[in-house]
Amino acid sequence: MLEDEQELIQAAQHGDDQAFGRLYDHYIKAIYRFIAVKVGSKEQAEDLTHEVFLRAWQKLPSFKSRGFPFSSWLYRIARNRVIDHYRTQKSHLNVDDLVGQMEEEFLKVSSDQRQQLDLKLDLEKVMSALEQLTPDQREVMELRFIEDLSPKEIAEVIGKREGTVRILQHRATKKLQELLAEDDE
Amino acid sequence: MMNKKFTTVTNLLRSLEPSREFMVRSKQMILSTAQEPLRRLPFRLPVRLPEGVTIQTAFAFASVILVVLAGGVTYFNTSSGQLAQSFNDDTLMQEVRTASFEIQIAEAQYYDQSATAVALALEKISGEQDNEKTIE
Repeated sequence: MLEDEQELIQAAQHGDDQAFGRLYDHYIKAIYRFIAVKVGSKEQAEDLTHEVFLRAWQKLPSFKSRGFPFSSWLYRIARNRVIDHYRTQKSHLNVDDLVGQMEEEFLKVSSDQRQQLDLKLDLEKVMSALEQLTPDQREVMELRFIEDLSPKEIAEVIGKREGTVRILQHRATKKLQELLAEDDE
Repeated sequence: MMNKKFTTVTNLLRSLEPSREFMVRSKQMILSTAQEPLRRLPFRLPVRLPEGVTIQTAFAFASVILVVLAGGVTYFNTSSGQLAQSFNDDTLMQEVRTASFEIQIAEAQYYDQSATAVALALEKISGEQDNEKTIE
């Protein structure tokens, strides 16, 4: 969260494009990542990210924080946009697209780690394990471990109680450990 | 404790980011678009709504109350014949009771007045008969 986020939001609500520009710069990578993990394709993820921020800019005058961070609102818009995307496109996550995006970063990790990890194979295993979770469990795990959100923030994004989020995370962690342990055997 | 493979993969997924060109182009395009003006209601509610209750929720509640009221009015209208009849029955019974009471009072008055007249008439008749007997 930005230090002067409240002031930036208020300024952006009154049409200050520089204030919105700073909010955009701060949150663009997180929102892009949230979408890219769900759609795989870089082009689709960029298109959807653009739509999310365009909607946020247009709807900002009517935004009310209600005690939750601005990022929760952005994640909610992104979540709804991804749901709409899958409803209309009927497409599925393409792991190859995701691997293509991660290869460059993969080269940056230490050679020891690289030897222990077969990027495509392990990504496929992890994504396949995530696929076997319920949609709620998967969403909680992605927001918790990839987006680093707190259970309270996740609750706001997916519209559930914080306690429910903790239960979903607990069950998902247990199930993932079982599924990935089976693969390792 | 999460699975090591899961942790490594999720750490790599965190590195996903859009291209620099996309970020610059997208931001320019967004900021050249006009914001939607804030839609204000033509009036302000005199009470402050509790946190979480939006103006839409308030209108939804008001609509439900209106539907319930309209339903109630319709119910009374459709069953008004029966209601009117029951009301009339009560009125009629009251009228009957009152009429009977009034009749009884009137009869009592009649008997009271007529009893004196009859007694006088009988007395007069009996007096005349006594006189006739004396003459005979």
